[in-house]
This record gives sequence, C-alpha cells and structure tokens, in this order.
Amino acid sequence: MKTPMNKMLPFAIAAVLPVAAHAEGPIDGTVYGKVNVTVESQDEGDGNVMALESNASRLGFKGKTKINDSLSAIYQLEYEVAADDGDAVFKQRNIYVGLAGDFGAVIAGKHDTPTKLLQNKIDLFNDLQGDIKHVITANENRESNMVMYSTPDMGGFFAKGAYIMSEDSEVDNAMSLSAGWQNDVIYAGLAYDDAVRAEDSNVLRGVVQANVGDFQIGALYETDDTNGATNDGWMLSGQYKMGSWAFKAQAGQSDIKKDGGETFSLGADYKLAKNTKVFGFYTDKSADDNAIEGSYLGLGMEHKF
Amino acid sequence: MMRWIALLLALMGSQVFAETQLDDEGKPCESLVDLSEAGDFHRLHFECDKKPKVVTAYEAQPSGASTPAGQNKVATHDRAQVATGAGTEVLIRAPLPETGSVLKALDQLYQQMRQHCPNGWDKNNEWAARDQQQLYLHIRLTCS
Repeated sequence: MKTPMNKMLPFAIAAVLPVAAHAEGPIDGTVYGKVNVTVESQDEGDGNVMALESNASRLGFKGKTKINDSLSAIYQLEYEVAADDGDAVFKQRNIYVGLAGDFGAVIAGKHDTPTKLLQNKIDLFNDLQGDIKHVITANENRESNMVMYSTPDMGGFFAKGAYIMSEDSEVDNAMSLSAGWQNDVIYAGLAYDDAVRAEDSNVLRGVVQANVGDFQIGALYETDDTNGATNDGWMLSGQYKMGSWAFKAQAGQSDIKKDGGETFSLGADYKLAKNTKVFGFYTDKSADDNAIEGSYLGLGMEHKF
Repeated sequence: MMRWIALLLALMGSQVFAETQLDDEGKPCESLVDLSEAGDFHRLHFECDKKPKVVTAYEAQPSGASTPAGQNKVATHDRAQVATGAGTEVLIRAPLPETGSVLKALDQLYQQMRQHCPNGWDKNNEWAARDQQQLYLHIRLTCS
C-alpha cells in the first residue's frame, strides 16, 4: 500500500524531534495540538440533518535553536486533521522557518496574514458554524509564499507586515499589514490588505476588544473593495466568565461574502480542566435570496495538548 | 433526583484547578495552540516556552534501605529549604503514622509550603504512597 508522503511527514518529524542535532545552541522541540469535535443538528434549508464535525482539529510541531545570545532559529509545522471522517489528513496550516531576536521575528513559509491574526479572539465562535469567515468577511486568509516580519512587544505596541509572492509574472504580489496596541484591558488595531483576496482588492479592518473583570466585549469593522465592488461588514461579541463557565454571544451583518449577510450565535463553554472543555452553541446565518441559509445547534468537546 | 441536582450544582460551582505557566512578567501563558493561533512568535517560542522549574524537597529512600515500621523520624524535607519563584512546582511529603491523627503530617507539609512558596501557592494534587515501609503524604504545588 502506498502512503502519501504528506501523511507520513508529521510522524517523521515527531520521530526525530528528541534527537540531538548539529547546532551551536540547545534544541527545543514541542508537539502540540487540539481535537475539537461537535455533534450538530444542522438545517440549511433542505431538511434537518445530524452531523459530527471536526472543527480545525490540528497537530503541530514547533521549536527553536539558539544560534547565539541574541539570535535563534524558529520553526513551526502545523497540520489540520479531520477527526470526524479522516478526510484532508494533514492539511497544511501555519508552516514556517525563521529568525527571532530582540529585533522581532522574520519568518518565511505559509501563514495566516497579519489581517487575519489581528482578529485575535474577538470571534468567539472561531472555527465553529458561527465563525466570521462564513458570513462577515472574506479576509480570514492563510497565504502561501509569504515572508513576514513581526515586531517585538514595544510597550504594548505591535506591528506585522507580510509580503506574499504570487510566483506568477502575470499576477501582482500581495501585501498584508497590521498594527495595534494592547494592555491588560484594551486591545485595538488596524490592518490593511492589498491584493491578498484578489489581485484587485483592498481591505481595511479595525478591531477593538475590552476585558473588564469577568466581561469581555469585542468589535470588528471591515471595508472590502474587491474587483470594483465596495462592501462592508461588522461584528460584535461579548463574553461573561463565571467560574468554569463562559457564556458567549455574537452578532454581525455584512455584504462582503453575500449581500444582506446576517449571523448571530449564542453559546456556553464549561471547562473540565485547563485544557479540556465541553460546550454548546446555537448559530443562525442568512443572506439575501437565501445565498446563505442555516441554523445549527451543537454540543462539542475540545481537548488541547 | 435531588442527588443528581446536587451533583450538577456542585459541578457548576466548582472551579477548575489548573497548573498555569507564567511568563517573565508573571502573566499566565495561553496554551500552545492558542499562542500559535495568535501569531505572537515571541510568546510562542520564548516567553511561554520555559519548562517549569520543579523542586523536589525530599529524597526518596534508597532501594534496599528500610525504615522500621512505626518509626516516623525519616527526613522529609532534607533538601535546601529555599523560597522559590512564581510558577515553580514543588514536591513535598511528610510521613503518615500508621494509626492515629494525621495532623502532625499536615502541619509539617503546610510549614514546608510556607517556606517554599512565601507568596502563596496552588495545590496541584495530593496523594499517599509508601517509600520502603513508610507511608508518606505527598503534595505537589505551584508557587504563586
């Protein structure tokens, strides 16, 4: 039986992680990941179905090697795994090698764009049916052939810039930039994409999040000018933590994915342990002319390792 | 039915205990999955990538050595009693008498906890196990 090379790669990496290598400094490699599955009742306009979904379950390897006192090589290889049916085994996620030091970090590989990263945890239903990528935005992108620079933390200020190569003389290269500021209470930032979503595309995203005691509120606004059509979208989210419980709500409107797009989600998480939770949610989404239509009731479990 | 309701209420009210890794500024570190998703390379690869320091405040009995039954004079914290920093994990133990009160063992353990973690602690877990013929009460804690 032939085994595709991409399926074997993570095992090969895991097998060699503890092995010493020829390097000046200590080698540090770590395996991590999460499994997130939900049992869902889904109604997308053509009858109710029950489904088991794997929600961006993943396996990752990351590490660093100290080159000298002020410079380290860093790497990360992260793959999505389909915990529900085994399809798309080891689909690539963030994969890079780079250098890091007091100057910040420079990486090269495939990675989430700075615009996507800026969203942080404002989307409280990320990777679930209520994920903003389904209705609110078309700019949650992970791009290949990227070189990205990330500043170190500078008194709460941070910035990222990515140059994305098209590898095609007929297609313009793309750029994604973000900058923001954060402290223990406030997180705020702006991001700009040029030619990322499409060659003729400009996107501006603004986010703000506030953490006050057990409350967290967040907002995202985005304007998207792609192929001559300018649309915008917004999303608000709120969370209240009570002991091991987190109660969440989120709603938004957008014309970026489809005209008249609307979505709202309600949910609750219960932490069984630091890295294990069970959760439930209800999500509704719609758009003009039923271009998007669905309601979802789900119960799930997530374990991080 | 009332038993199930009581169990549910107890679960709802219980706080999840967790061992939390801290960064240099004492802020709790997110899980590696979350750090990766945030794209914060320094936090992922450096600030939150330190292996937690573990201090074992006793030495296990060498194999072959024996402690007479009922003798509770085994050194239980014969390693340096130095105060440790936030995030350090400490293993301590005290001999448990075969019969009678365990208060003396608990008192010894709490003294050690105060010495090792003067700023407070989270108790990770507690268990009893024999080392040779002596039963010990062990506690694993993380200094605040």
